[in-house]
Amino acid sequence: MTHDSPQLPEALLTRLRSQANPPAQLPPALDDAIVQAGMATIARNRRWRLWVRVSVGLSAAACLAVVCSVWFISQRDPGFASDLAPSNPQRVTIAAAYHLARQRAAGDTSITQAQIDQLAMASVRLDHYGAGGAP
Amino acid sequence: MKSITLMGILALGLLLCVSAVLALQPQTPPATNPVTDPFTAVDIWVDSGRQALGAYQFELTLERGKGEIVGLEGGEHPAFAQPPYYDPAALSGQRIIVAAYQVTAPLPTGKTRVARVHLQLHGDIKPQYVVKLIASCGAAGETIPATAGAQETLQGDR
Repeated sequence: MTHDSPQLPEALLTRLRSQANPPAQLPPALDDAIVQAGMATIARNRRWRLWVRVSVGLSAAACLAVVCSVWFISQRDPGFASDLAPSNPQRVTIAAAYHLARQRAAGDTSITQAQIDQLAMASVRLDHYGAGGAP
Repeated sequence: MKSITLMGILALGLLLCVSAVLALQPQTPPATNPVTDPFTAVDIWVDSGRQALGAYQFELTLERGKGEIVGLEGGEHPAFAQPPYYDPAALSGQRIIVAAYQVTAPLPTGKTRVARVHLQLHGDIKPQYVVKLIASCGAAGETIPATAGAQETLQGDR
């Protein structure tokens, strides 16, 4: 029992062959253009990544350098840090010493002049950070 | 990739070294001449208006120019004629906090000079003084509104 192969139109056969076996090589001009474009894209991406890395690295280095400089300077000049710090609203003022002095003047013998002087001196210390804080 | 990382590390190290060297360099002292540099005095006044001034505290800063605080004396009113409280560490600096109180009458009212600060100036920059009033109290110890300022009074040869 034999079967005869159906006869397909020649145009359809050509189309099927082209789909099953696409041309192995592009035309030389098109091939070169694709390669050049690909190389250019790769180069552009490399440059972009390089710039990003360099920028991030330099920014991080600059920030670190600033932090290190502030730290070094603050180690050498303790007043530098206090100059940078905002004014402390809890600073003891002369009002506290004045209050004690008025009480003492009114007859409160439990308050000594030394205590008043100590409080007054605490209010004028340059590196003072509050009533109970150590300089 | 490795070369980029290495380059970044080298740049970081270079910046750190430069910052460390700059920070550790001895501070160049201002061109001073303790013999010829002029001395000056700055009067600090406090204006408490009609209310009596029982206590004050201010901060004086030499904002512009170079100089050193070399001394301090009291004000013109007998209530504050004695030298006020101050931190001795402020001497030879450009910032000082000064305070005083008085519990016995009479107390000054209006604008009165409460202290005089002596400085030695360095360089040719005209100094600028900033006074920040930290506290001002009335006769009963209450906080009263007041203003403060500085006026250079004795100017040496410049």
